[in-house]
Amino acid sequence: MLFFKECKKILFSLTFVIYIVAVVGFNYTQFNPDADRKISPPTPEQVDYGTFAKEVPEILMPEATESLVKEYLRGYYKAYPVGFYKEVKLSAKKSAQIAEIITEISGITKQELDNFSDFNEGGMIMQPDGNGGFVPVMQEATLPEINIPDTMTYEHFRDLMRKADKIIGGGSDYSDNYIVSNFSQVPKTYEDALAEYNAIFEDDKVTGAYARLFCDYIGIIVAVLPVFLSASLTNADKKSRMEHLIYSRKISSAKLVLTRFSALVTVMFVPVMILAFIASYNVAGIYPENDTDFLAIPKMSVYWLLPNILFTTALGMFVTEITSQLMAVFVSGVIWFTDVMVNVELTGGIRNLTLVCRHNSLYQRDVFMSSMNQFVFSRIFYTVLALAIIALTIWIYSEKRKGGLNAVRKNIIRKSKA
Amino acid sequence: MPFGKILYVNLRHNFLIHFILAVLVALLTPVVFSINALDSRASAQPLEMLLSFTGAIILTPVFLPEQNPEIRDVIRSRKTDYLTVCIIRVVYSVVALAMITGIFVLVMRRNECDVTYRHIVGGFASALFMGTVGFTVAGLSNSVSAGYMASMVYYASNIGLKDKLGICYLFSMYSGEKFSDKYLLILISFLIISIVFFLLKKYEKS
Repeated sequence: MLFFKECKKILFSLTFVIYIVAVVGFNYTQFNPDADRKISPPTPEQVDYGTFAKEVPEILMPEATESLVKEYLRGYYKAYPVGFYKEVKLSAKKSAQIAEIITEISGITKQELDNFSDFNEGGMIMQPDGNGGFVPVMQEATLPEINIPDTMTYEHFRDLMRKADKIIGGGSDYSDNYIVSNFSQVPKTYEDALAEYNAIFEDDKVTGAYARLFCDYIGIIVAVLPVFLSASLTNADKKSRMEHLIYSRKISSAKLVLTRFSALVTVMFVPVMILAFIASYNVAGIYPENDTDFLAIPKMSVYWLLPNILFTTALGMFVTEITSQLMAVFVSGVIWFTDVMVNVELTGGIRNLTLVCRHNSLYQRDVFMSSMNQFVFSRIFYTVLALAIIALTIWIYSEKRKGGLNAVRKNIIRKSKA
Repeated sequence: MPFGKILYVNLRHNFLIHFILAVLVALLTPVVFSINALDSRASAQPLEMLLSFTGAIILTPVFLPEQNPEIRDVIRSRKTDYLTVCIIRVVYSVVALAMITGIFVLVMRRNECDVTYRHIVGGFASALFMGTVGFTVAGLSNSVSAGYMASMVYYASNIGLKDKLGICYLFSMYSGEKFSDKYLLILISFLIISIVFFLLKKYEKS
């Protein structure tokens, strides 16, 4: 049967060996050390319980204003207009509109902003420690003094933030979706931390917390490595000069492409599932006295990781079919890099089009739950997109068999030579 | 075939597309990372975290043209030694890599970043080592896909393992590790490349 033949071909390829080494290695070096730790209950003596997003106007208003001033002075605005990160640079006219908003909130005029020469963005910097090394130091931003008058109501402030978001092009930190989580973090009390701890044991059955961490780590690599296997398999016919022989066979294009796609996805997902079951077994062993959900990690892997494998595999097949293996790796690499490096938040940064969803913590369940809608959207989006790409690949493959695409390509080459 | 001809044919037919892709990565870098008025440490970020991919793009496909066994047999029947041609490819690839890094650092300097020759050396070292990983796996396995994949796995392991990788940690300049490690990394890269050629030569003879 073709499916098993394709599976065998993938299983005995060097790229699959590297894939296995990478997935197992990532699980061993990243997830396992964290998973060995038991989730400990908070104690009343603890100094810091972390923070959580809560709409508090007294916190949100100065924080959001400070950020807007900082972004105005540095000349670009962080935004996710269509779900992907973008540094938005505004025209002079739009920049003046942002300055007007700042003036209305704080009284600082455009001229004062433009003449402010001591601006320093702040953030984490490395400073020499005196012994030839460096130590990370948090540097405060240097900004003009911001005073929000009491006459500024919260409702009007939020309207101004919506206006700023519209000027930036939507999806900015000031949009309704992100403003509270970005600018209104309040410290957790002992009671809050205890409630979170109880939720992990009662709602998550403990394994749910480990499932998020497992998917966080494995998700990083299964969002890029499948492209190497899929591009390699798609290219194999060309490499062995078998493509024309296969073109003439009776098998339909849909059957051939779908069989390869399902073989790739199956072979790559099975090791992930095996690791998920092993992780479940280990976690259950840490909490023998608790009622754990043995299927939590495998189930979460299906929702969280399978869309990544589906999308990256489909993309690899499609780009290889229309261009080359190298281009497939390049395109997928760029998408992966942009997603991993630009969505720098290790927890709570999940957006509608996030490919590599991160939740690098056994805790902060509330942060994950607050972005559940975005998480579900992104998983459905990439699954549907993968299926659409595969449908397109079938069409391309079918056209190539008929000679359609080759004819078009030859025509272009002939014209360019002429 | 004279040296000049070998160089010309390889640059035109085997190198150009990979060089264009590497330049594209360099051009895309300012889209992802800011390269304006950065301090010394922050300047290392775009160099180590993104520009290092140029090494994998340029060095991994050194053995690509002969991946097809029929072409390899034809090449081996020629008077010019096959591995000599590959060494020429490595030399111009490394020169191109140094050029891309150097020009990029100069652009950063023009954009008021606090960069020195160290950034050129550090950026080049990371790119070279990333390329060496791909080159080694591609050369020994005769599979360029495996080479690219190994580079990517190595890059991902840098995100996870960080300074546990010791001298081989790609982002050491950005993390404030000892700078002398970068010189060692260049040395190790050339050593590995030499070992790969030695092994391939031995394999050829056998």
